[in-house]
Amino acid sequence: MDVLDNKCPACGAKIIFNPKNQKWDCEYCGSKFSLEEMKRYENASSSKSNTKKNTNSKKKLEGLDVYTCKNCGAEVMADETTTATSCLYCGSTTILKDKIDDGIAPSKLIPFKNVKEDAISAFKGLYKGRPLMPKFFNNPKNIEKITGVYIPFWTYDLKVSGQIDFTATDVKTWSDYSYRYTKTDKFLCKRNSRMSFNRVLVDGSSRFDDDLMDSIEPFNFKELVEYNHAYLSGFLAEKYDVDSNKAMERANKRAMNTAISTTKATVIHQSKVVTNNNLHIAKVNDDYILLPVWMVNIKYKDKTYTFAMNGQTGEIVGNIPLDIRKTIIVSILLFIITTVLAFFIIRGVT
Amino acid sequence: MKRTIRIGFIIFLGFLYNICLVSASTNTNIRTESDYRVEDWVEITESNKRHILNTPSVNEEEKIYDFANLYTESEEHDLFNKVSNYINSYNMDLVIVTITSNNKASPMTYADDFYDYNKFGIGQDRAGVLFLIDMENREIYMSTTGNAINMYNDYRINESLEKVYQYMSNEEYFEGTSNYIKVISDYASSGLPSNNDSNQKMPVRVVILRSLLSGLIITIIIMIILIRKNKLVRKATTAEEYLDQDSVDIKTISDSLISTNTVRTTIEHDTSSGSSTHSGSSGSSHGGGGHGF
Repeated sequence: MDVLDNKCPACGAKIIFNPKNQKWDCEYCGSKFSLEEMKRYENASSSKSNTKKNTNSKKKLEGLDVYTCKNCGAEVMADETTTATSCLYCGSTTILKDKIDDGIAPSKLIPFKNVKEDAISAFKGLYKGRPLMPKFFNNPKNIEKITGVYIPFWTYDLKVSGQIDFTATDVKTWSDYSYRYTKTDKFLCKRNSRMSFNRVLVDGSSRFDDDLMDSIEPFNFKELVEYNHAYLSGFLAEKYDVDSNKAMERANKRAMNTAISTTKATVIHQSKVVTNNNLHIAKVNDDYILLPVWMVNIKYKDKTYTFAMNGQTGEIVGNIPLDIRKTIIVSILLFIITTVLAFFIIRGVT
Repeated sequence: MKRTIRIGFIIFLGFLYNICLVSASTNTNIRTESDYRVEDWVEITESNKRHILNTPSVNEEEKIYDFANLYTESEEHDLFNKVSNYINSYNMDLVIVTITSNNKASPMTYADDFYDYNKFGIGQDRAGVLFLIDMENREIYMSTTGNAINMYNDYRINESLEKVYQYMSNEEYFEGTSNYIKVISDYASSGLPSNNDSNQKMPVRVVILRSLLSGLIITIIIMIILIRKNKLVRKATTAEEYLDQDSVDIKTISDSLISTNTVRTTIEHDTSSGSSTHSGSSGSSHGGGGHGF
């Protein structure tokens, strides 16, 4: 892997990745460089390239600053182009900057596809069709704090195989003039099932709610590129803190559920119950990747609400609190309107 | 003095005139054990003998049997015309009976016996309606036979009586009876009742209650939708989107029937279908209903 410097090959100023054209823009001299151009420049400057070429699969993270929040303990990485001024998670400004010393480098990442302005306008658009949202959320000040973060994810390629048995029941009813008949047939259905899953995603950050990160799926893995820390310029990145083995349990559970339901679909009966499950899950491959997420924390009535937007697809997730006053007003109005309407409809019909 | 005598005389004459009128419309024939004066279809048994004998035998052409003297002669004449009109229009018989004392168990038995043991009814099923004003029980009763049972279901019977009983309470017997004939004529001209017949005249109270209920349900549904719109987090429990469809290989090892069981339950037949019926002492079936006044 080539570790790219975040310096403009033309003028030497700091250079930032621009999701719009998927190139590195230099704010000083206006030059734009593609990944290829950046690499070529790196190879030409011989000083670093030889030492940093590393064929070992256990790559180390280098050249990154790590910010540790004194309040909540969160660790966020950034290169020198980006400075974190407050903690992403708790909003505390007491964060310590340090050079990163260890940790496995991610093997791949999906670069940001949308820019901060896209994220801001998407969040502003949330108000459409949601009359119960507190007005407070409309405050641009809250949304301005939105930050692009590369979130660590584990991905697992899994193979499921084995035998699974179902008890299926068919109920048929019919009647003649004097009797109603109910026929109940029970079947034992045995299946030998085999299927593979590619890149089942599991959130590798304990700071993010698993459900929140589940909801932000899916990502298009076709756009995965080799990890290069130049992509991190302009963004923050989080270090994984969920152990791979622990994360795999979640992946296994999801794969198992899908394997069961997929197999169940081949049993053509009305109701089916699993009676014997001998399906086994084997890990074929695992990977540590970074995925782009725009995130913002909004405090409302002493509670922090985390919102995230998929940095690739633009999907927004998060639980928006209800404005109690609005909820009550809307309910009462709705009730009056629907009752009056129903009254005239019922009257009109009869 | 002379004047009072004259007035008294006129009143006396009027009284006499009235008596003559009344007696003209209540002619009955005597039933004996040798001549029960019933139609051939009636099977005379030990148990119904008594019922037949204490049922007045009347001329079935008169249609108005005002034993209680509730109508004047002209009113009776008017009613007869209305009844004839009904009979001709709807092919069902119509009989009006008023009584001061009821020698039978109930207005229902009186009405049914009166209808069965005289030669009423049109066609094979003796279709017809008998309207009884029972002054002893202070009840109006409507008895239906044959096709009239289908025409006047329980709902229609109740509605008809509901609409006219107030007249009887006010001693407006002629108006009540005229109205009654009008109401049952309207039902007959609207045809056999459909299933939603009972919805046709829903009281405002019920409409309001239903509106409130539907308003509440719709509001709850809309609010749930609106509230759910604020929840943009869903826990993922499956890995559907990561499944490699080409890799799916499911083989059926066996699909075997392990047990079969058939349960049979009797179907209760609802014979009323809106018209509940009962059998009179003659064995024929009637529909009907009453209302106090």
